[in-house]
Amino acid sequence: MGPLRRKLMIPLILVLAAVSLYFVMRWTALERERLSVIEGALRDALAPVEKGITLVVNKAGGWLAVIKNYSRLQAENQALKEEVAALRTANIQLEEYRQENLRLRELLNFTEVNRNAYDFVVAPVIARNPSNWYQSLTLGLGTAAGLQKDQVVVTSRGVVGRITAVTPRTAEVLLILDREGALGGMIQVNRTPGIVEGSPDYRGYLQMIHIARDAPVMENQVVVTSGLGGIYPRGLFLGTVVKILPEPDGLMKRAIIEPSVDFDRLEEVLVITRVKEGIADAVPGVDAPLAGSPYPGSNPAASL
Amino acid sequence: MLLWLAALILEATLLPAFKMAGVKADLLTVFLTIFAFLKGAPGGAAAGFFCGLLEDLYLAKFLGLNALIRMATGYLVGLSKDWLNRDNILAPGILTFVATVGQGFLFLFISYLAGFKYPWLAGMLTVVLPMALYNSSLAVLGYSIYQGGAAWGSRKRKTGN
Repeated sequence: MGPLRRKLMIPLILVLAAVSLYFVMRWTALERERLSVIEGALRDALAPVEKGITLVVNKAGGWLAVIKNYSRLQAENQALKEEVAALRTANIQLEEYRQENLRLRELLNFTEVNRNAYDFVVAPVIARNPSNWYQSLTLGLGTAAGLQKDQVVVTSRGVVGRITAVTPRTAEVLLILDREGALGGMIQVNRTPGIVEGSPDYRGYLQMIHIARDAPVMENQVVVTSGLGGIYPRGLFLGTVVKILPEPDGLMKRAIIEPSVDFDRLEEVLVITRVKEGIADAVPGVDAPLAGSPYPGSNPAASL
Repeated sequence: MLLWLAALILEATLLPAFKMAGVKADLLTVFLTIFAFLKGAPGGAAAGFFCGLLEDLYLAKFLGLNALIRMATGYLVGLSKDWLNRDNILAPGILTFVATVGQGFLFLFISYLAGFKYPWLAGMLTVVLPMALYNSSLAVLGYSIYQGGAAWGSRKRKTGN
């Protein structure tokens, strides 16, 4: 092959290639039923590789984003933790308010029912007697709030005790559980009277002592205040008889009473500051109430 | 002063929530016993008198009763300093048990003379005995913590030197 022919061969091949490519391009420009064997084989061969590389890139992108945003995420996490802690605290506080609301509502219901009989002051319990020998608690209100010695303290569930010492801002309440907190009580259903005091051997329980051996006192009977003694108004709930025991002398018996009040869980109490005129006895079957008789704890200022 | 006051306030506020067998722990007795065991009779008697008086003033009842009882307790427990091993963790527990029972007996006896008539047997069985067990457990725990703290402080001083 001469040099001239060799020189013309190359452009000719290029032109033929260009023309061929043009026709191939025209052929493949339109949508086809199926890809050519070469196209299909190439695509299938590359697919796993593409898949792997894309996966790695995606993962790496995620990791890179994590690394890039680490400090921001950390701050966000910290902020969320603080928010959770704050919400938890708020939730606990709300639960406290809810329970306080329930307790106060209970006390309010009691005061509403007894509004014609007594005047009340709601007082918080701030401390209990540190000694195991005495049963008393301290209220967070005193003479400044109208509290006085010998005023009776109750809850919606029953009698708590009476005030024995008072300062301008505190009042000490001797619980009916105390050995020195004895008061007059009676079996509600049959009016059997007796002295109710803290039981020395059944700790946390009351006992009604000096009951005649043949007196109709039985378990599950309700015990209320008798009004005798001049401090506690008549008809306040004390507790329920759970056991009858003979006295050592054989002539008398005593009744162990489960108090209606849970003295370990008192948070707010009601102090009766005045017994009003004409109250009806809360105990059914009694016609002559002690109402109106000012007991030693009644507030003289309030009765004016 | 602050220790006794803190113990008294805890007894009036926190400890009623941790009653066992119907009685609260008597932190004053626990602290006093450990204190007297470590310091001896004169220190124990002085501390007993002081914390008892503080308690009497707080209770505002039978003023002097607890001062007298706790002073005697502090003195008698303090006598054990010379013949009991201070490394024995059980010693304060046993001393606290005996001290609580002795204090309970003295309380019933002196308060009986003063007009507070608590039934003896019921008082010993329902108040004194459970309280003695409760207090002695706390004393063992408290003394272990004290000894641990003292050993740690000693090691720290040696390392520092």
